[in-house]
Amino acid sequence: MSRVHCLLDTNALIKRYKEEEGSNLIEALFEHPAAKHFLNVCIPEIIATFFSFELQGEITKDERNELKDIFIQDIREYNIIIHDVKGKTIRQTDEVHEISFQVPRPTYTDPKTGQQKVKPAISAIDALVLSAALELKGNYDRIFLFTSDGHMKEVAKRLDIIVKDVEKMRVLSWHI
Amino acid sequence: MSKKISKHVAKKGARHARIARAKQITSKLSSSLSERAIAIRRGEYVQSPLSVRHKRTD
Repeated sequence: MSRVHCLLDTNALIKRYKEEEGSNLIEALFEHPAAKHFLNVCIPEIIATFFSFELQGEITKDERNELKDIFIQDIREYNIIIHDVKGKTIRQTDEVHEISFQVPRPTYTDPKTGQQKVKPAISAIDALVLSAALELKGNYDRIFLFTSDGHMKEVAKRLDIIVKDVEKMRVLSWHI
Repeated sequence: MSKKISKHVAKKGARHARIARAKQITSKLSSSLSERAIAIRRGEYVQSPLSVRHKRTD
């Protein structure tokens, strides 16, 4: 059977560094021989997430640097394969955006005004991640996108990308 | 145990220790890293490292 390839969105990979919902399955994934891909443009999001907790005074600067170094070491040891954005990735975002407009955008209640609002369409980074998943799908037989972002999951399904949401799974499985 | 296997075991042990250390640091955080990462991408989290650096140098 061919090797499993996984593209991790930021919200999935970052669970590796904290005990939270679904982090046990991310841990299991890192024990599995599957290739774990991560898009290069998502790297600043990992760093910014750690930084945001330092800004709130929840961790020290030293601790934030330590977390950053642990993440860098994961890249150095190829525990994560950094996938670069290429011309093809950019070109395919057209397809991603076209599909995304067909997906109803979720609504939410604005906590300040109490009004019902429509969530924004997928972001530029979402489009690049989905496009990279399409690119990997063209290269490998078994490709899975790991994300817990509701709207992105809906767009991915319409693009025939198999999504794994570790917050909704009990065990790590490759069933479709 | 061969040198190659013992090196692999040591590397794996070091990796597990690093992840355990990360989880120890983040155990005191008030919210999930995953939720925060989604909020940062959606622009719902207004404080950015750049804006704060800008404020500090003002």
